[in-house]
Amino acid sequence: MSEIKFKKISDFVWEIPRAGNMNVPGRIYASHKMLSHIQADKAPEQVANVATLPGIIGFSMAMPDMHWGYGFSIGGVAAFDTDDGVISPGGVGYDINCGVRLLRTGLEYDRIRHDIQKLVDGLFRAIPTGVGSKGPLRVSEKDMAHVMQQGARWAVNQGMGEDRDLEYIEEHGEMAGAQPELVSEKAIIRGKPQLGTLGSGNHFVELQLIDEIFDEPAAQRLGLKKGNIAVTIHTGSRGLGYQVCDDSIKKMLRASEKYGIDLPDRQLCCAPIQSPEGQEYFGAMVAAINYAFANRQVITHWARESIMKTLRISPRELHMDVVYEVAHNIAKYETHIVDGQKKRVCVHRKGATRAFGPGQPELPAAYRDIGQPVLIPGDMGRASYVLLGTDEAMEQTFGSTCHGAGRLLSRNQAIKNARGRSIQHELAKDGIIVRATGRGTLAEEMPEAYKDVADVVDAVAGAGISRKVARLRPLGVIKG
Amino acid sequence: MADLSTVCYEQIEHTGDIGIKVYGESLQELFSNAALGMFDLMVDCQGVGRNVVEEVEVAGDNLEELLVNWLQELNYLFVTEQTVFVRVDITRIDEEELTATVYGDKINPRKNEIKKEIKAVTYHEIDVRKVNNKWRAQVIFDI
Repeated sequence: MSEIKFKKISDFVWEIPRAGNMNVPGRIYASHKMLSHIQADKAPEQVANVATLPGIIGFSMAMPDMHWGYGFSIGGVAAFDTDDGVISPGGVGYDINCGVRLLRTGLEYDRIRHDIQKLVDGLFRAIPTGVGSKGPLRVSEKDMAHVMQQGARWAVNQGMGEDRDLEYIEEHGEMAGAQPELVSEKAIIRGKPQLGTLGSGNHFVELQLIDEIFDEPAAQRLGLKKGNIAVTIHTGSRGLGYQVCDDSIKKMLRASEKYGIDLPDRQLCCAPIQSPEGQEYFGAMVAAINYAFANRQVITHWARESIMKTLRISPRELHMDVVYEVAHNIAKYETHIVDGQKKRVCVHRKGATRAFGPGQPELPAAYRDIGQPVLIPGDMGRASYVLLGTDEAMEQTFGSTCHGAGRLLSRNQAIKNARGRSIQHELAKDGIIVRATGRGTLAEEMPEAYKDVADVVDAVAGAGISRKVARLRPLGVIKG
Repeated sequence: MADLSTVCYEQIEHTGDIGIKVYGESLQELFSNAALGMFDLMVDCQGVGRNVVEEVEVAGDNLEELLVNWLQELNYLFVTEQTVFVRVDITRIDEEELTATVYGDKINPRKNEIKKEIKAVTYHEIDVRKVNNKWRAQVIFDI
């Protein structure tokens, strides 16, 4: 049980007042009903810990899907001054640029309702899943350098996708500032065979039905039509990212000591952004970010090919275009208004999504007047949501919002609860066809192991930092 | 020398992640148990032989860092070589360095189920200490 007391700011915003070494207060976004669960976890303490780091601006924040994480809590958002602030691998996480891509299709549910099993089987064959899975791609060391520099564009240049895809990815799928030469040989050896693989845990590819529209004009702009099929891909930078994070933590532990940064938790180790250690982490992290962008692009290509083959249709009939792609484990330089002045800051989002409001130059031209699409996957039995970023998010949270449902049960507890049950059959009864590589995965990832994503989404909508556009219901899922 | 058939460890629950707690009469035994406990958590090791032999050398500034680096190195061998180790012979260990010979097999995921992917060995709540003349360590894995 957390000792930390909250002060109510509004129905959906709670403050952790400054105390001890905190440089700024904490702010938690949640509904009243979510608070007791949040307080039972150590995550609020972690929000307070982050507030002690040098150069933090405004508030140390957490989104309603927050739960305990290494160093920073999951759902954590923190911006740092680029002159005297820090950068921390614990503020990004092990799975650097874990993220979500949403694709719409021209397929209507009625047309494919009897083909779901075949489609899921096809995707399961086409996309390698599971622990340490290796893909059919053969990339050389030289290719890897390009992947880490060019991200999704590398895949498009290899014929896997179209130029149009790139327009609808955060950072256009190619973030500037990568320094592949700073990525260790170990990280490259881990990542090379895993490009174009989904991995395990909560990663998935899902066939979804667009089943509810909350904002018709916005949905039209995003090409989301009720009754149509969409595809969501959730994965990240695989072993390459994990290794980059690992390597960096070792260096950052030394750097924290060197620069005299007092750490309440070793996993918060960090370095001044401008220091050689800070810059090295940034360069290696961006290389991993680009790898993850390439990974989702390759998987998109295979998903398109697989669906066309299963249904024997042409690309024109499939019409599977990227709606948008977001990163939810990332640190980046952004310009925000701080104390009425434009200021360049380094925003860490760990299990949190960028949610830029209308008018931001980073958005694709087609969406610039409505705001950035935000993609919130739920668990495999309930829904996923499409939201839009808002002006309030720009003012309150450095343009950030939640990233998903958030875990409720530990993995072992979930396995215990699933004993004697077939999660696959239970989901099938609800019309959801699931295939997974690992025997334990379905139990660990079953719907009741997660918070209800609807509560999370209602809290960010209630706080005004996002607005709801559409809901997607799962039809078929492949997992690791 | 320690063997998977005799290893004894406790699992620690953590939302989303899992850790282990291990004991040992000596540092050798403690570090061997940690390695074998980690593999037992990851893979169903039934029937795994000792056909692959690897020499492992790691260093760290203190025992905790040494433990993290040791387990990370073994996890790296698992991920990149698909090899699990069921026997550990730590030939030299002090506060800062460890040399070991580890024995195991390349695994066939169809025969030996992979139960968990360990993304990383973390420093969170890491603890290595001597209690009543016995060594005790705990470590949490990012799953």
